[in-house]
Amino acid sequence: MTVYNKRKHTLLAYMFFLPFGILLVVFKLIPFVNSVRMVFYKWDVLGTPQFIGLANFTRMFSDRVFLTSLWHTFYFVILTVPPILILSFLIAVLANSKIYGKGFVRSAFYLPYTLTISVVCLTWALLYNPYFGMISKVTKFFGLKTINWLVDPLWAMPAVSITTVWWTMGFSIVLYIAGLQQIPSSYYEAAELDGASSFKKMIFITIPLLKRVHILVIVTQIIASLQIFGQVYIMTAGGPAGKTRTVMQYIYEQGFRYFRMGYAQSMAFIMFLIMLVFAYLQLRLMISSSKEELI
Amino acid sequence: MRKALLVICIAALLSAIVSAKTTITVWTFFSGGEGFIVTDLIKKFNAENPDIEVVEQIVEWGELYNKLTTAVVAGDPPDVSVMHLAMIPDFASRGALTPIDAYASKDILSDYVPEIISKAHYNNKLYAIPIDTHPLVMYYNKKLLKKAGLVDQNGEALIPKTWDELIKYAKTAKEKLGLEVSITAENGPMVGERLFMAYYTQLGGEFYDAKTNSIKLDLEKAKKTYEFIKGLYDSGIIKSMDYNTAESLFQNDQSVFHLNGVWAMAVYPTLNLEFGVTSVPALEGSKPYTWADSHTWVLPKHPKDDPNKIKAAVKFIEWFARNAAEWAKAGHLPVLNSVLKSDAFLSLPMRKDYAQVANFVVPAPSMKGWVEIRQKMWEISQSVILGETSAEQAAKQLQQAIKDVLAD
Repeated sequence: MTVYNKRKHTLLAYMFFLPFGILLVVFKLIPFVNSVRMVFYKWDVLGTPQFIGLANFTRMFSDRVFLTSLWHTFYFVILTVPPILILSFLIAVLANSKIYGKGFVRSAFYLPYTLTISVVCLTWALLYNPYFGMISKVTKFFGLKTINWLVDPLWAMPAVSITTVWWTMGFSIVLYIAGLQQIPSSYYEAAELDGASSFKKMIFITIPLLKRVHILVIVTQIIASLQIFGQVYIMTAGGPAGKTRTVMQYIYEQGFRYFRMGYAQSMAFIMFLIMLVFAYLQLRLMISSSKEELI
Repeated sequence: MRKALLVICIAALLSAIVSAKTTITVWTFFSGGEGFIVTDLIKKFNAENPDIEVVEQIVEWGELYNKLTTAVVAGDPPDVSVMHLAMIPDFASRGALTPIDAYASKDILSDYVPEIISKAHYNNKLYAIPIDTHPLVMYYNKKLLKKAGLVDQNGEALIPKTWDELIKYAKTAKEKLGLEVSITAENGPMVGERLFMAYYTQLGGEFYDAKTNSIKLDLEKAKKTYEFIKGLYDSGIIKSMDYNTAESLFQNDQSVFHLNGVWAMAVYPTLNLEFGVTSVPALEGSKPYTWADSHTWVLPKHPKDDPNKIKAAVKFIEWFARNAAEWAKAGHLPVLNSVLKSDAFLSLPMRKDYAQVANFVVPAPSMKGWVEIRQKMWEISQSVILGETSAEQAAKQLQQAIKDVLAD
């Protein structure tokens, strides 16, 4: 191959990249750079931005509402990521086994994921309703105390989390099923010859070999859960008494209700950094686990 | 062929110049019954005014203010937009609205309910033409009141005139009928902001401080209001719930009293529900003051004012206000005295029972940042109801919130 040809190839590659590249620069890169710049400004959207240095950040760390919202966001991550990880793994194992009706299991657990957020949240709000909802009817039948889920400071966030787990689990189940199908059946056959029980096969074959899927599910779920907004906005409006307000919701309020764009931008920037850490972690773990596989 | 085309083009251009219609774009967020009424009224206006063409553009309810802000920044806002009265300071203070003092008719301004038109001003300039007011009122279930024996000598349901009466009746009804709750109201805006403002004003509390020409809170009266709210919940006649639950319980004969805005009147008369509507109860010695907001028409600021367009726009919005009896079918109260007293309005079902409320409305104080303060009000009162904040702390928190917003 001549030098000329190589150059031609590179040029061609750039040409193919160009249409996407332009969109990327205009709609992602330029707004991103501008939004990062805005963290040093006070801007009410209509006036001219006013440079205020790091004031947005000092404000943020003395703003109790921001700090509690940050905690609520992490609390939501804690309440959703482990259940999603464990449940989707177990359901995937079930849906991948040779049981009767596994097709039903697969679609039953995947279907919620295809619904829109408002449908999911309004339906669950109705289920949780202490006067008309199905859940209170069931708890009453068993003689349990009726919980006013969405206005109880203790139960509001768990209620939103349950809804979220039910809604988004389908995606992780698919990832797990794909992972399970990549495990060669010869491993299990060999284990069976050695007299390994189903439990041991699960512990020593299935779980370790799905390491990459575990990492993928954990990290993508953490990043998705950190961005929680719609569910609380629709189901509790951040209440009761701000107990379910998350950072994304607070960013929305500050930016679009109170017109403090610079301040909202600064909080968004902090969230960006937090998510960047997790994304980096995922990359490192994935690389190291693929190296292991090569060995 | 080409010549023919040219002739047609010129003819079309000429006819456009001769008819010289002024086109006015209007942003609204009304849907359902309200939406149909607005669209019909605009059609009627267009038919009556051949020189003006009003074009309606419907924007989603929750999105209008964001979109309006970006449209003003982009220099391409609509000629007219709907806006809540409470939002006017936020937009006027940022130069997003066109003052219309020079264009509005004198006779319409003197016809307004004073409390409403004064809030359509910001820094002594007129920015809006209000078309209604939607106060907090009290609904009551006649069937349940009768069942609980709460009737007068004629066998008619007793209507509580004071808060003490309301609490007494609610307790009686709850016990006799074995209800879960006997008063329903949404626990965020409805109680924390609207009920708070009604009771606080009835106590004689004000938000406006004439001495300093700014906003303040009467700590003692705010504290008393929070104590009152806490007392309601502690007695068990009302429980924390969201808007839909509060409405459903009332609509299904599971609650005797219901606090809500007059907009519910667009629906309740169509249900199989034996109900009545009246002003909120009053403290003894006070008038039944109550929270209210209003829908208004405003003129978003264009990069360059076009006097012809402004004239046409003001003509339309004034016409709309004068024809508000039609709009009142959605439940809202008119704010022009001439419309309030008109047969067209008073002949609508049950309007006589609450038309007088228009005289006791308390709109949001005219301050920038009220949107943020009211959000705080919703949360503070929820915290009081949960027993996490004392009435005194709550009053102080609200005072601090007002100070913070004013200082920002």
